[in-house]
Amino acid sequence: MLRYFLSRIVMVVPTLLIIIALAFFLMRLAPGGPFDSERALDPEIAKNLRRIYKLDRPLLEQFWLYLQSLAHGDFGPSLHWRDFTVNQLFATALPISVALGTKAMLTAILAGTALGLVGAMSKGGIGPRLVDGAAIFGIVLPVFVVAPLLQLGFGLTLHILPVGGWNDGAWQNQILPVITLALPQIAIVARLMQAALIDALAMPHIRTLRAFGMPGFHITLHALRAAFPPVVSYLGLAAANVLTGSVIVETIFGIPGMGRYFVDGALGRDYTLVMGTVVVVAGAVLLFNLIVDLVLAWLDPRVRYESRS
Amino acid sequence: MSSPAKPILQLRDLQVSYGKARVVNGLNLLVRRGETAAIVGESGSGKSQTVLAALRLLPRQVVTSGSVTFEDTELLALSQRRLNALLGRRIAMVFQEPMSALDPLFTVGAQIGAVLRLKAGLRRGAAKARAKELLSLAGIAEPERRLNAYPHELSGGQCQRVAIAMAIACNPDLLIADEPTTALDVTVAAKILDLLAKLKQSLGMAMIFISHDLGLVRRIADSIHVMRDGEIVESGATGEIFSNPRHDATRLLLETMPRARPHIRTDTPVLLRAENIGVRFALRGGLFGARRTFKAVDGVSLSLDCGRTLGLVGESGSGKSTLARALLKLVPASGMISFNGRDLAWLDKAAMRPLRRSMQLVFQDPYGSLSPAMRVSDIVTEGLRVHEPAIGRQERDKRAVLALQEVLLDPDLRHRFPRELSGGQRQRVAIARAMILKPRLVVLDEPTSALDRSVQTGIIALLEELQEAHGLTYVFISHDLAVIRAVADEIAVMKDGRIVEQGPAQEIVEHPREPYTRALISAAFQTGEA
Repeated sequence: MLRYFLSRIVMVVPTLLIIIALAFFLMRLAPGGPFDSERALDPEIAKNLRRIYKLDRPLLEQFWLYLQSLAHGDFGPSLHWRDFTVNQLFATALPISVALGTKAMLTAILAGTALGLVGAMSKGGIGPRLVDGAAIFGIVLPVFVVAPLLQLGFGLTLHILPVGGWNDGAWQNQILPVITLALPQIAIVARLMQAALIDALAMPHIRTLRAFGMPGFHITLHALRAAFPPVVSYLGLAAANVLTGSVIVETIFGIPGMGRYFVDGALGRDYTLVMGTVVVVAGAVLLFNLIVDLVLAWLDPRVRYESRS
Repeated sequence: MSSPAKPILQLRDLQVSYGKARVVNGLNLLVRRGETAAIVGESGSGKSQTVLAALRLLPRQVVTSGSVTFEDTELLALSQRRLNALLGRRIAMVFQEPMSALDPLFTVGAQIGAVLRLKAGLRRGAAKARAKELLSLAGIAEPERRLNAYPHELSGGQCQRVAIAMAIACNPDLLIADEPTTALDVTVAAKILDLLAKLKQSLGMAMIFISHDLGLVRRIADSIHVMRDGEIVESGATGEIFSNPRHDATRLLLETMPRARPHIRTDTPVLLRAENIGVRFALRGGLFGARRTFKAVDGVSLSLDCGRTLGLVGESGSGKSTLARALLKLVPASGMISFNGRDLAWLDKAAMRPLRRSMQLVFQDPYGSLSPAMRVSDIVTEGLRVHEPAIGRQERDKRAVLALQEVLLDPDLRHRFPRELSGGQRQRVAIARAMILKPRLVVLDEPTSALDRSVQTGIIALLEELQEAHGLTYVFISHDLAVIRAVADEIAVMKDGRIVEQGPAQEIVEHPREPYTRALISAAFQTGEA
């Protein structure tokens, strides 16, 4: 198990490095710079700015400097919000996004599993089809359609939930964004879960349990255990989807999370801010995939076995 | 039996239907206490469906009618809760595929323990101790250690022992074994059969033993019930069935034990010669671990004359298939191979291509070896597109018809897809695909193992006719010495990548030198038919 864990960790570092390098150089390839504005800056001032931020050094040297400061956990100064470092910006924004994303993922896992279970266990043929139908709906409806509809319904018509804003993370303000973020993931997890459970229930070892007259909960437990691996494998991808989805959701609901830095940073050529968000997001996705791999190995002894031999 | 014991299980007019298709058709069966009743028939005759329906293990949409009484309880009318109280405790079942019948995600100990806790009401500690006892009762060495093993860490035979341990956990009165040895190697199967017979004796259970192999059940069954098309066509005491079979289906099952091949000796040139063949596979090393190699074939030498058949026999994993692939240069191998006087070692892919035509391969699994997306005619003529690209569509179609006729298939089948054919038909298609190129050497890799005995006999007869008509040379691979004896002029016995014994077929079968060969022989001919 330890060796398996180490081998996965070892893979994370080069992956992250490649992502950082790609983002760094692509960003510099894009036309424009952080100090461009409607009115051209005085050349002398522009030159000074570039010198201060070390943008006048050769590109490779800049990359090396960036990696060095990154190794110290320093994302550098923001080029757009010039009174703040990227770390300071993230210090307030990251916890908000993490709270939102975690809740959305948990909602997706719990609701998706429950729906999939109900669909797979329902005796008639209508259950699975109902779950499938609802799931398709959840998958095709884009976030920017769902969000305004929820705002309209729960905020403006029923007046039971705020339309937007963060309000220091009051739970009322979190409900709609979490649901919006979770909805497509609930749909996908429910479908995967249902399909995996239906397959699992038809497996020979489940028939063995039935032939031994084991109680229903015991059989369901074994079927769930067999159905989890494909669903868990998807969760790594789901985390990435939730992260990108949060950009839109945070914008629509006016939430001061990481999402807006992604957009603003990219538009304003705020090199350090964009790099910071890329590193954080990529790190989060890699971390989540690492967790998924470990959970898979924990769930399935055969994965552990293969990694050993 | 002098005074008949009380009935334990009785099926009356049992019917099982999937929609309009009826798979069990008004079946009656009576099993007495302590009796071993065998249900025998070819695959698809409804044997498994019968017992699964009796225990209500079939999917919901399957309609079961009639009556199933266990002692005095009607099972078909029982509530699920009361049925569950009987299952596992008084009636237990062992399935065909031991690997998949156990949950891959739980240790063996946890699975037996669950049965003991939930069905026998034992506490955790007591369940563990009892599970250990059961494993040793089922003949598993080091039961303490095995409790913590996962099914994939055990062999098929060990898994079946675990399944048996689970089945006898609550001292059932009735054990139903559905082809419990079919998925196992012959020597392992014999041991499992002995184990079942012994346990049945010591625990005083009644047993229903399902098999397609009449010879196999002879050793343990008190009574035999022969099934065909969802009905029992003949029932009787075992001795009676063997000495005086009345129904055609029974006679067919008896006759389909392959007969020995007549001994012919001719002087013909050598077609294939191999010296010191070795095949190694690299096992994937760990992150920092050293790479290890596994010798699948280890220093094998053989030579095969034109028009003769070499039987390669051995258990699964002994390297038979790998050796055959090495002989055809389909896997990289060390050593010297010459085919028709040409040394193959120096030929590259392009140089091999014209020779490929003369050496063909037929695989074991006729379901997996034919592309499901191609029609039979395209499958059969695909080789012609490579080796005779000049011939046109009409000529190819004509050849396909001839090839199918040669393997005794209706040429109209060429417009069908493989899924629309039976297993035996598919294997004939696979043979036609090899024969259409007029090869000289055909490697047959377990060509009959996936087929029913009676279908097997047909395929073997066909192969012999083709051999005679075209002077073909065969390498025939099988784990079943009964089949090998029926087709081979010479036999090579393989074990762990080496040939342990080699010689004329008759001599090997009648005077085996190696204990391993003897084990294979006793497994193959345990019915005493030889």
